[in-house]
Amino acid sequence: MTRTLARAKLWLVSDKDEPIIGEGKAALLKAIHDEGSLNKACKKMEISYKHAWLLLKEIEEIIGEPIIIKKRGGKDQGTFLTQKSISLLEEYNNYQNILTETIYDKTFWEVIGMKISARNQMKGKILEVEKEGLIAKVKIAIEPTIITAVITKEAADSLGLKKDDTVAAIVKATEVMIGKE
Amino acid sequence: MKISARNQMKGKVLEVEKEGLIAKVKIAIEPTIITAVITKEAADSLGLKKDDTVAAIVKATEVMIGKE
Repeated sequence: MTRTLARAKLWLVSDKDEPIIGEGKAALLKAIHDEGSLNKACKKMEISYKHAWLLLKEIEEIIGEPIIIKKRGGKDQGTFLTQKSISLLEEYNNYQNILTETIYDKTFWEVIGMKISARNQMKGKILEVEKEGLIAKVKIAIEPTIITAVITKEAADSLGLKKDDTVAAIVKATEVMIGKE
Repeated sequence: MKISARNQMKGKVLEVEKEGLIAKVKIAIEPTIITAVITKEAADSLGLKKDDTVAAIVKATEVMIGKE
């Protein structure tokens, strides 16, 4: 079976659920910010000046305030983002980072799908679960030995761990010490 | 020396693979195989090699539990 991947689209909406910016508009704002010029931003994005104007107008209509400032002539000339659009872009990027860390993080998916990178996964049966305060001490029978795990009580409760449960004791290879007589 | 770690599993070294600063040691602990990653320095200092009888030691706080 080939591995399936996940993709997600992100867009910010107003409190009336009207779309403010998505990937395209965010890229345009970023290009204006980087180039300091709407013309250069359009060239970079390979869109027409008119199209860019329409996109910017759409954003301004929803949020109800200007998102770019034009300065004509002199050495400070160019097109710049207003404070509002800078914070909009920041917010978009923050959400994008959260998405990247979860949906696009393969390790996270592997844990969700119970495929873990940790080399040591020993299957066994729970002998007892002892809880006290914030901690749960779990004894797992992994023939012919008994493994003790100390986890948070929260984790034990969330997994509903109890006697006779079939579980896996998982240990990263870097956490295994070797003793030799 | 008595060690506090609750998990001490006796087994036999299957292979010791060294590269750079790291040694990857596979230990047969019937019926499973445990992989340990330690420094090459530690592996050399213990003189670890195939067929050595060793213990794989893990602190209880380093054991995660997985349940379907």
